[in-house]
Amino acid sequence: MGSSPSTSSTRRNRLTYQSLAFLIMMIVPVFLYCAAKAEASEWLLILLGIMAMGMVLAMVVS
Amino acid sequence: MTGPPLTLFHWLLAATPIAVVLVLMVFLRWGAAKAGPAGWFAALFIGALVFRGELKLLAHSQLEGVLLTLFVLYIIWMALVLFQIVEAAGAIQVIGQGIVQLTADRLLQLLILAWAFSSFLQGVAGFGVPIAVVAPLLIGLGFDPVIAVASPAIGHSWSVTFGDIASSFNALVGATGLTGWELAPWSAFFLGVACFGCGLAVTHVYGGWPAVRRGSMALLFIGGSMALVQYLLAVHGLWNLAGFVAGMVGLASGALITRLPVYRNQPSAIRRETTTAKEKATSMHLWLAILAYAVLIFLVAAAELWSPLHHLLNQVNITVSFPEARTGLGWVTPAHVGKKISVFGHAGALLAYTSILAYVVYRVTGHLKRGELPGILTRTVHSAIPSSIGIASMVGMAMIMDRCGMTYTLAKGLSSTVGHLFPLASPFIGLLGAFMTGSNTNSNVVFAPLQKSTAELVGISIGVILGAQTTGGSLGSMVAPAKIIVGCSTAGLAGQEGKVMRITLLYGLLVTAIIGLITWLIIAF
Repeated sequence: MGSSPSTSSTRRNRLTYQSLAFLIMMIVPVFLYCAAKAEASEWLLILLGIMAMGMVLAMVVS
Repeated sequence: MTGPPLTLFHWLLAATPIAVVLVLMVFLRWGAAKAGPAGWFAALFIGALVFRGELKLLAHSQLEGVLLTLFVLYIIWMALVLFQIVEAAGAIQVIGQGIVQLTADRLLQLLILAWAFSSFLQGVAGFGVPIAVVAPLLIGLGFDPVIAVASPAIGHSWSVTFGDIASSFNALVGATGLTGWELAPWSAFFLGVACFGCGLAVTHVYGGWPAVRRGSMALLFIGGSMALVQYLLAVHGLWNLAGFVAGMVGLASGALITRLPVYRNQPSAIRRETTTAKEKATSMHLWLAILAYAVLIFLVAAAELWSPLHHLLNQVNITVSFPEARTGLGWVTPAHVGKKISVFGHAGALLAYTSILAYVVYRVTGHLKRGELPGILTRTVHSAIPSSIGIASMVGMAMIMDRCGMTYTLAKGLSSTVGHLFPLASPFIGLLGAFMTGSNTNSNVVFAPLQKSTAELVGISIGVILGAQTTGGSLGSMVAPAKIIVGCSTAGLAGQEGKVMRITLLYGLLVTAIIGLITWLIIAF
């Protein structure tokens, strides 16, 4: 039993966005750590914002 | 160290992220990939605004979360690859038939797989592997998918402390500064009681009290042998082998109990299923079907117990050092080294070696066709990504809570509110830690020092309280979202974690309450 092309495409898109959200969750903290080490508070804020966007993306597409 | 003030306001706010996740997952039936980020936001806002966690502290907490997430996901992804290979080769179906041939009694099948076999797997692997391996096997045998995930989640949880070569017990020893000889007797005693509780719960999940009555003989025999062996090994200084050997003895007891006349008369429905299973028989031998798991057990045991191999595999490690951090309310996290990930010696790496070997063997024997690998990997990614989001966000949430002093506030509030009833609350504190971090080890690291200090202040037995703490932490494995997600993803129930959690939460709280009651009685009398 197969799925229709539109369902399959929606599923693929959803997986792509979920993968993107997951990558943001895993990679941004590395930069957060570096920014904290460099005492760059403005970058900390920006990066934390990107992390939050990743979380929102995960909620929207899951 | 001052820390956050212990007021009802602060306590309620500290509990909010956990409440958010619980309400969304259990009552609104959200999946972990959706509820986790919501909990993360709650922790971030409350941690920053109320508990005054500074940006730098929050940044560090997130990288620590990533290390812990990688530590867990390494196993999950590799366990999924192994499972997809084994399933594509048709081995899962053959193993299911093997268990059916051992006994056609559905209750015994469930007890052997979800209680004894999952405890054995916890003894050698841990980190969610028991649920990831057993849930698909139970589904293959025709059990309801929700029961198939909930049963091993409940069944293995008593064996977590001494499982995986007693890593959680060693964390308890390290975190409290006490010796294993002081901690082992009460820990093994409470975990032995929990063993019966978990077996009883698995039986009740399956068929209510009639099943409990029918399975009582098996419960006493399998549970008694596992609890006794674990206790004897632990109190004689062999705690590193206690979980592993207890699981093996449980499996042997399970095989023996199938010979009892009471379990040899099967209802007609079971005979029909056996016939159906035979009709589906494939050309694969049972030994070839279980080869992958036998290799996994051998590899994990060898990597843990054979020093030269252990040393060789654990030479390359990833870790990060974190400086001391302090919140605006004075809560201090001392400078420390984050979670160490052994690239080649980690349980995930051992699963990867097993996967490669299993693929080669099934390919050479003709059970896997050319060109099946991309399909196996695609199916792995499909089921792993939503689970990975759930785990990453919840570990991030737990890290914010811990570093901002929210976890400490929760535990302190709980212990000071209940006063002389503290022993009753003790296992629940352990359970809370495991729920949040998905790990008995982390629960012991975070809460054992607090429990020890409280026991000293109140003037009660430290050994008893810490035994209750680690038992609660062990039982917490059955309610920890991180582990439920693993089971659901391997069982094709991604997004339906709430259904499983409704079951495990009920039994987890009940068994923990019994442990709390026994702890209180021991202290009181």
